[in-house]
Amino acid sequence: MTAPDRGEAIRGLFRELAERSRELRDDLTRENERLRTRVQSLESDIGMAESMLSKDVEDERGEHERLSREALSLAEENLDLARRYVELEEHATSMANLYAATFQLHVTLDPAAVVRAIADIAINLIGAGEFVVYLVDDARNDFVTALREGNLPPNLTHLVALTHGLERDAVSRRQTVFAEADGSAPRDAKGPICCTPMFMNDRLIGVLTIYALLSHKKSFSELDRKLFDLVGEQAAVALVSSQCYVSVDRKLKTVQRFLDLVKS
Amino acid sequence: MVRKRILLVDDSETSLMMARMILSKANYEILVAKDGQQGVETAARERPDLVLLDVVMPRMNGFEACAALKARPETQGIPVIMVTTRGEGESVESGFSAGASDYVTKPVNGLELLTKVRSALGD
Repeated sequence: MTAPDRGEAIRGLFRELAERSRELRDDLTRENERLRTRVQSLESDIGMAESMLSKDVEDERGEHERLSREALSLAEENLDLARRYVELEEHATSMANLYAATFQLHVTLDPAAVVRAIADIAINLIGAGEFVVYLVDDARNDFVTALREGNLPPNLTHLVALTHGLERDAVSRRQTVFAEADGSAPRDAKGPICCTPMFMNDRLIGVLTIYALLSHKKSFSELDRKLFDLVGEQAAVALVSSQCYVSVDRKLKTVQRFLDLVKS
Repeated sequence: MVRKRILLVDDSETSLMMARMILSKANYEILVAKDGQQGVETAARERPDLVLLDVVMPRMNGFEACAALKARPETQGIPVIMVTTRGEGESVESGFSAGASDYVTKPVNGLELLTKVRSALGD
């Protein structure tokens, strides 16, 4: 082969190589384009998947929070119902106490039984351990000791006047007075811890003086205060009613005896 | 459904009335005795499901009545709750020694009484 032929052959070879190179570049460009499109598509899919996942997580979190709130609300409602149940029971007990006290005071027309009812209320409903019931003796214009309960020192059966400042204070204020403002009952108290005057209208009928509560009871409750108010009013009415009944009954019997005598 | 029967033994009308109101509301049938002796006799005759026994009573006190109930075959299985004005340990111990299964102190708290009664009756 001559030199020109060889040069032509080499040029032909280069042209062929250039052609193949172009084809290869075109193929690579297309493949690159295809892969780029595919990557974009995949990236878009991943974005959508992440978005959906994120929404699901958000929904789940929202649902979880809603259920938590609901559970909390139910727990609070349950607690509130339990609290209201206890309140209702306490209210019912309080009403039952007041009803029982009123009933016992008015169930009898015997003054001694009324005094025993006052003592029964003081022990069983209020929880008094040591107390005295003084009644006003109109005839002698002094106080008679109608009932004493507990380990109190011997005392006179009659008092010219109430001896303790707490008692005088209760009578002058016409309301129950406690030695301690918070209703606590100190064990080492030297005098009375509470006094309730018994008034009917403006007339003093007697006083209930408490010296100590039962050993397991530490202080007066709100119910005790209501019971004292009730005793202060209702015991006075019951005592006056029963005393009137006894007096009228005695007069009636005297009149009856007189009539029987006249008839005979 | 048969109502369970509770025998109240107390000489205080006020206490009896209170206990009756609290327990009747919970649908229990109430029997009453006014002293320890009568309580033991009523329990032997009526066989209640539970006895609520006051401590300070005439004729026979609550501890004696409880011991008497536990000594009799026909009443020894009946649970007894002592109702006491003395909440100190010595008094409570005497109640348990006599055979009581529980105690409540006066003034009676309605919820406490109901809870202890239900517990003693297995309600």
